[in-house]
Parts: sequence; structure tokens; C-alpha cells
Amino acid sequence: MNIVSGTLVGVVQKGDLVFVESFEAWYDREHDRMVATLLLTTGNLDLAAESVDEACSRALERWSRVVAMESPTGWVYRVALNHARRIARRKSIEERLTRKLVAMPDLPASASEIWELVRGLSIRQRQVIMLRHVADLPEGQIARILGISRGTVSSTLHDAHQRLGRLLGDENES
Amino acid sequence: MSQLSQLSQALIDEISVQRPPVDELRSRTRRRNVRRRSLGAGSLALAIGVAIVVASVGTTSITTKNPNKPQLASYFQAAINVSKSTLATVGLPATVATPTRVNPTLLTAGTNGVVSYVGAEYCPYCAIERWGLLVALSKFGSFINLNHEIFSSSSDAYPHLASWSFVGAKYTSKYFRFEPVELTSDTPVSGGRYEPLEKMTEPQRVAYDEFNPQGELPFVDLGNYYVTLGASSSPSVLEGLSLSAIGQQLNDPKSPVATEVDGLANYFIASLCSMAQRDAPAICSSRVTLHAMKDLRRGEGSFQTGSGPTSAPVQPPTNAPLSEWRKWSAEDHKFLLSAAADYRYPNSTCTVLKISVTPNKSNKTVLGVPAGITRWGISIEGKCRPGQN
Repeated sequence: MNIVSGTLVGVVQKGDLVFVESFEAWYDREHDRMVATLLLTTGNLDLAAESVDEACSRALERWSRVVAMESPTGWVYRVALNHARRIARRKSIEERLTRKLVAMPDLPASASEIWELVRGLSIRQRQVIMLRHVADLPEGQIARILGISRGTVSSTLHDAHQRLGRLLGDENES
Repeated sequence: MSQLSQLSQALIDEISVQRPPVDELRSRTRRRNVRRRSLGAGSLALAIGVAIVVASVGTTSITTKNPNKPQLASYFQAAINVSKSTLATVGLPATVATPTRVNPTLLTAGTNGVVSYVGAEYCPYCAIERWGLLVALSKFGSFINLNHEIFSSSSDAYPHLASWSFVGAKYTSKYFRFEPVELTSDTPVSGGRYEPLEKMTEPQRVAYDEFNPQGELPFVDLGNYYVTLGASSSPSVLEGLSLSAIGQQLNDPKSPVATEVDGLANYFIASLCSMAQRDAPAICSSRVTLHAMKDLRRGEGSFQTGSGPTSAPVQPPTNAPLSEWRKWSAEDHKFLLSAAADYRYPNSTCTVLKISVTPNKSNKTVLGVPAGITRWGISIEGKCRPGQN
């Protein structure tokens, strides 16, 4: 049995007993934010929820390794984004084969406003903006999640801010 | 980007996606591993071919969650979907018995945080209790494999009631575990007995013996906070009804079935709310649940709630007189006994097997406690399901 203290679980890492966050505590805290981030990246609530569930189940399967990473949440975002990409690709093949047009499901009311703002951004800009401002991740982690350089993240963020700033009438922030 | 951050926060707060219980994530992992193994063992080309065919003729939506989940019969769906307004209209009928408050002990700590149902398939009283539990538990988690139809005994009171049992069913909830046991089937054997079916776990048997010395069926233990012994509602309302007819009445607050089953479910819901340690579902703040909670507290009567200390006594300074230290030690012992009896493993996939309060006396000052004074500690033994944290 693991040693449990509040939301922490005692595990042996490299021969030492260390207390790490339990999967349940992490999952409770991060789930909704991850779904919101994926929703605003893909514009599809079902796809977002499915991808987050898949990524979380993979994280749970190997939690002792994931929790020891620099950013468990970043790892899960990466898995979820890859999964979303795979599904979207499969879905587009399926639509072509069946020649069916699948209607975009209605977004929750609170998401529509943001979606209207960000839908004009490129996919890469939307990913970077959402990971920075919704997932609240630092640029270095965003770079690792998306497999791009930190400089690319900074410049993509800058361009997206310029564009959104015009729409929001805000001051630019980096 | 402050406006964007504010809008996003509102979205996170209001996001309407249900968070699947951790057990569902585990099932997903198992299904994925099975798929992976079958892909490796079988013909990859064939699998890809099948996948393309499925993709070309199959689903156009990815919204189907848990595709392996079998569809529940309509009467189960009706019970699972009894609305809040029906529950509110039915309220707390006088014909329904209120669950009784019990006092958890060190012995019964193995079922803290566990909802136990002990019944039998022949038992007519269990028939009505199961419906009440199904309605209530569905508000805190979800069932799968609920499909075992039965009839209660033909030679007992309320003969031959159409019913179902929990055999083979699985329930997942983020709040607690549900462990149903049907001791016998509905098939008679010699001597007026029935064919044995399932056995209680050891911690369940301990709680059963402790709280149900007369051995009444059904026995429902709600995390060692509340219990019901025997039927809490009258099974007479089920007489002559098919399962579908019972299902249809569950959402009609004026029907006799709804009065007995949903009324009982209201008490179960209130009891279960006391077990939901965090993020209790919205139903826990509904008016009828709050009324039921009040009734439960009133029913406690002479029950000594809060008899044990709720916080540890303050340790005296090391140079305090020994009499003060002995008093502290006695109070600390009392506090730990009460804390241990109430202890619930924070992870619902793990079980406490044994919990004890153990003394420790030293012949020198340790952690500010003078020599000769007994310090008390809690020792917990438990197990988790393989592969679980």
C-alpha cells in the first residue's frame, strides 16, 4: 500500500521515499482546464473531452513515471493534442468516404465568445494562445508540448497577440 | 490578454463536460491494452481493413463514450433517471423508515467509505430496497452490467415479485465503493433454503455482525454512518407489476411505487451525501435532501454524535507536572480511538484491513514527551487493487 498523506502519495524514486501528488488530486484540479484548452484549440467539445479522457487514462496507467516529469500536465496536453489530431484526421477521411457533412456541435455559451475571437487565428497560433492563457503554461513547456523551439513560441504568441489585441482593443502582453 | 483570461476562467468554471470517474479511465486503459494485444497477435492488414470499413460505413460522431457499455433495460434507465423534481414531489413519506445512525468502531473501519448491501434473490423485502438503492446510487456514480432478472420466493410474503439483483453489476463512483452481496439465489433447495450465491467479504461480515445481530435481510450499511435492517418500504406496491410497469411508475410522483421507492431513495441520498467527502453532487443541496438530513439527525435520538473529541489535545510543556501529562496521554488516546474508528482511506480503490491504536512508552524524553508517559499512534494495514495507487 502506498503511504498517503492528504493528497500526496509516498513513492520510492531512485531509492528515496518522496511524496508526490496523487493522480486523483491532479485529475480533480486539471481536468476542466484541460478540456477548456482543448475545446478552444479544436472548437469541438466532444473531441476535446475524448482527447483529455484518453490522455488522462494514459497518464493514470504510468502515473509514477508521469508525476516525476518536470510537468505532468504538459505531458498530458501533448498526448491529448496528438490524440485529437489523430481523431480529426480519421474523421476527415471518414467524411470524405461517406461524403457526409458533420455539423460542428454547438459550443457552450461561455465558449462561443472566445471561439469567435480566436477562430480566425491559425491552428498553431490558437494552440499557443490556449496553452499560454487558458492552460497557463510557460513558453518553455509550450515549446516542448508542440515540439517547436521556444523562439517560435514567442514569435507565434507575439503575432497572435497583435491580432487578438486589435480585436480586444487591449494592450499587448507577452 | 486579460479579457481572454477572464473569459477562459468563466468557461473553466462552467464547463459542462462530465469528468469520468477514475475507474472509467482504468477501464479505458484495459480496453486499449486488449485492442493493442489483439492487433499484435492478429493480422495487422485485416485489422486495418476492418477499421477502414468501419470508418466508411460507421459512426460519424466521436461523441459515443464507452462503446462497450451495454444498453440498460428501460426500467433500469427509468430508475437511473428519476428526476430531481419527482424526488422533490415525493418527498419523505411517513411509510418509509428512516435509516438508523450507527457508531463506527475500530473493528468496522474496514467498511468506512463503503456502501454495503446484503440481501438475497428470494427475499421480497430486498426487491424494494434494491430499487431505492439504484435510484439513489445513480445520483453519485454509474452502473454497468445491470441485467440479472429474478423473481422473489413464491412461498414467502409478497410472493413472486418481479425483480432483479445486483449479481454481476459493477458500480463506479468517485465518492465511495458499492459492494452488493446476494447471499442466495431464488432457486429453492431442500429444507426451505435457497441455493447459496455470493459471500460477504470479511470486513462486510464484521460490520454485518456488529450492526445487524439479528441477521435481518436486506442489510444496507452506508459507510458505517447509517444502516437499514429489513425492508424500509412496503414491497406490496410491487405486487402484480412487471419490471417495465415498475419503471414507468418511478417517474410518476403520484404512483404508489414512486412514493415508496423514491421516498426511500431520498433517505438513501441524504445518507450518501454524508459520505461524499468533497465536491458533493448538486442533489445534496436540494431541499428534499436537506429535509431528509434533518430527519436523519432527528432519528439519531440518543445516539452520541460527537462523543469523541474532534481535535487532538494540546501537548503540555515538557516540564509540566506528570499528572498533567497523564491527563494529556489519556485524552490523546481517546482522540485517536475516535479518529481511527472514523478513518477512511482517501482512495476508494484501497481497503483498510486492520487499524489499531498502539502505545509507545520511552524511558527518556522523546519529542517533548517526558519519560514514562505513553504516546499513542495509529497503525494501518491495507491493500489496494493490483496496479492501483
